[in-house]
Amino acid sequence: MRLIKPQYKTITDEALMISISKGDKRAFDELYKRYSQQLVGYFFRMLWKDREKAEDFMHDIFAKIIKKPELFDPSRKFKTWVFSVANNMCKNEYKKQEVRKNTSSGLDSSYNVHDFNANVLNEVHESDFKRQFAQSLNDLDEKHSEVFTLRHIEGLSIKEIAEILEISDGTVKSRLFYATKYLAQNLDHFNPQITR
Amino acid sequence: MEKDIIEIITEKEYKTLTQEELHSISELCTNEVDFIQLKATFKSIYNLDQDVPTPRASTKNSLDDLFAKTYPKATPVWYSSITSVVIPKDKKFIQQPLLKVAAILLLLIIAVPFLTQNIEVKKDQLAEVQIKTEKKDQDLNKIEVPVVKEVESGSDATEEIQGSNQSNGIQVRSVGSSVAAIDATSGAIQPGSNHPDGVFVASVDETVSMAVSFQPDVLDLLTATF
Repeated sequence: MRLIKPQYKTITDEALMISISKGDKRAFDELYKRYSQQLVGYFFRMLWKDREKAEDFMHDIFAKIIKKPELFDPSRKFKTWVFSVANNMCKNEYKKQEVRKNTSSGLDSSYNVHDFNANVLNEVHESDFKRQFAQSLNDLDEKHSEVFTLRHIEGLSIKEIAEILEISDGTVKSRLFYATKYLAQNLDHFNPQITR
Repeated sequence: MEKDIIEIITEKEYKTLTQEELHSISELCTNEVDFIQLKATFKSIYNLDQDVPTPRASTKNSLDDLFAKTYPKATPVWYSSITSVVIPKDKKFIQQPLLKVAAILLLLIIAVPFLTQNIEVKKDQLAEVQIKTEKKDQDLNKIEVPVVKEVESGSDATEEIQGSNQSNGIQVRSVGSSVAAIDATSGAIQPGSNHPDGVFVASVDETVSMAVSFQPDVLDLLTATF
């Protein structure tokens, strides 16, 4: 008999999901605490740094967890499941945006004109680097940027990424390689000066 | 697990790279200088303070409302867990733990008064026993008085036997002195006695002296011809 209150901090994500499906509010609070920040960050980066969108998407994903917890398969890892859902939501949003882009006559605001100033090599400011990095990541196509984001910003393993994106480990690695190469080339002028 | 290129670049030094690792990074850098530059670039990426927004409180409130609507009758976990253990739905009414606990409590409530009553009865009995023993002692005193008298009256007879035995030249244990001592103690309450009740009841063997004719063994011994 479990009369003592369970220590939610030590419970696994998967066990929390089971408790949520039984109407345990504290389990939901704990899961929200663990993933809300991470998911907002993911959506924020993947959806053109749109804070409102990121917040809405995070809300939607937790609303899904509340309304249909049975969608989660307890045999899977919650982290990979939630990121695969998040990733699919992003893909759907890309498709929506593509339709809008084709119907609109304006320029795509997400693709800015590159301005590589040679002089910045000597004046490396963090803000510039940040902006350039974000821009380069944004310029990458979807399949490469999502792999890079999941691996190096969200900190997921190659195996987890493969599971989320439903691709092989080898594909994840090759996409990572491409993304790394692209970013290295684009951020090359931020490298510290080395006497050659 | 195989390390990806960024891990190799950020974690290792150029001189420590294996041939395999050198081959895997060959498309990004071909010499040590490029390698160091790449390392610095990626370290800068990791050290970037990402401008990630924190979730708004309004979003959480909205989700809390949604949760309350979705699970309106959800009882607290501690309550539901107790109920599920004490009154399980899958068990019959007679087999339910709550009923068993209630039955045990009822038995205890019924049994406790009886238990306390029994203790009081025992106390009464103990008191009665004490009274009875005192009465017995008194009875014994009453009984032993004539025995002592008999011993006193028998002292003359012993002396007579003693005298006759001496005349026959046979030594017989004299009990006169012990009889005198017994006279003072037997059957009477002695203040300095070792007996817990202060009573000394002399045994018949020690206190009563009798004629030899009543003891065949001694008589045989006395009358035996050597």
